[in-house]
Amino acid sequence: MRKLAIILLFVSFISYAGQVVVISKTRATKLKGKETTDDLLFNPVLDSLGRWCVSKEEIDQLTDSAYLYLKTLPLIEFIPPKDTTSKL
Amino acid sequence: MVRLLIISLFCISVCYGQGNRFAGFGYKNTCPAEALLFIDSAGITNQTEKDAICTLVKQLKDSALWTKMYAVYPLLGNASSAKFNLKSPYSRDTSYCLTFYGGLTFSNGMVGNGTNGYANTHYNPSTTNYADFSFGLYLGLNKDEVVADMGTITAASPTRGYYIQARTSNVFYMDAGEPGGASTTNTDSRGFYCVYRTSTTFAKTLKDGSLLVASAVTSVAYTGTNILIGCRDNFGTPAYFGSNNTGFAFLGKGLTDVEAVALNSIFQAFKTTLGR
Repeated sequence: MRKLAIILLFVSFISYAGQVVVISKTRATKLKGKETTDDLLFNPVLDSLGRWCVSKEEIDQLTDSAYLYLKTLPLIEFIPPKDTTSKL
Repeated sequence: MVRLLIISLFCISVCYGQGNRFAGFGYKNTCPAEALLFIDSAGITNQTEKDAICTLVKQLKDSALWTKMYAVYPLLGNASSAKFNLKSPYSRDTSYCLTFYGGLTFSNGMVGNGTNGYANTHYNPSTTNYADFSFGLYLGLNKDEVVADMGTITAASPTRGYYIQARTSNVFYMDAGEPGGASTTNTDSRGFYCVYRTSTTFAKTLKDGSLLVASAVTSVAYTGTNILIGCRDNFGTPAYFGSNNTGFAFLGKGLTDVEAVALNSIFQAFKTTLGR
């Protein structure tokens, strides 16, 4: 059990890639390609559980009041999806 | 007499004013027109950055590297300034103007967040001569990550692409249009990486002007997507987002060994001027 906990901790540590908020697919589609600030576009991505996420850095730089609702959503740790197609 | 004196005073004041208008722009006489256009487009006001751009263009031209470049990204300032290609500083995809996505921040270049931040160069290597190509970037942080720092890869068999992966478990990976690419030990991701080939049978990567790895795998024609910075286009989808600090990037025609070393020297001078 202890070994499993250590492995899980290790896996979550190496997979850690910052904080995000989870949004719906509809919102993700609407945000895609819109500006967070001048010349920087939203890029919602899927996490390991197939949820759409927006990064903390995008939210921190928000200038458009239309997207301020994102600041009210809870931040969670992002775990990237496993890639099964590539050789990286 | 008094009237003459007043007229003279007026003339002196106007002349002084005009001279003063260009105070600090004395370099206009020596700074290449291409650099001035970039400075204007990117809205650069910092004198050190202006001087660095002028010197960069001058040195690239003096060493005949200017005409070999498709795109040079000094990555100065915020997203609105950093997006411009020094070779063609216009806000359009055909000028290889960068489009920034996700959680990038800008400090001494472009900083990834490891989640979704990247830049699209709009340069598709399918259009290039696969025997005559170079690309590279400067990374300012020492990171060991399962990420790609720049590039694109296609699934079309044989799998191949154009990418730089500076340090994953202390190994450097690159691909310059050949199936499989090449790799070598790299225990520090910081440095200026320059990947180049001038034939289908040989490609090299220099790190800070010294040979890091060579590949003798034959390059083949490429059909794929644009080269990205801060991640890799993975069969049409951006993936492997990094969190390094990219302080410079370029895309160009193939370089000789001498030219690749010269490019490193020019970049190092640029970096020193900016304190990156």
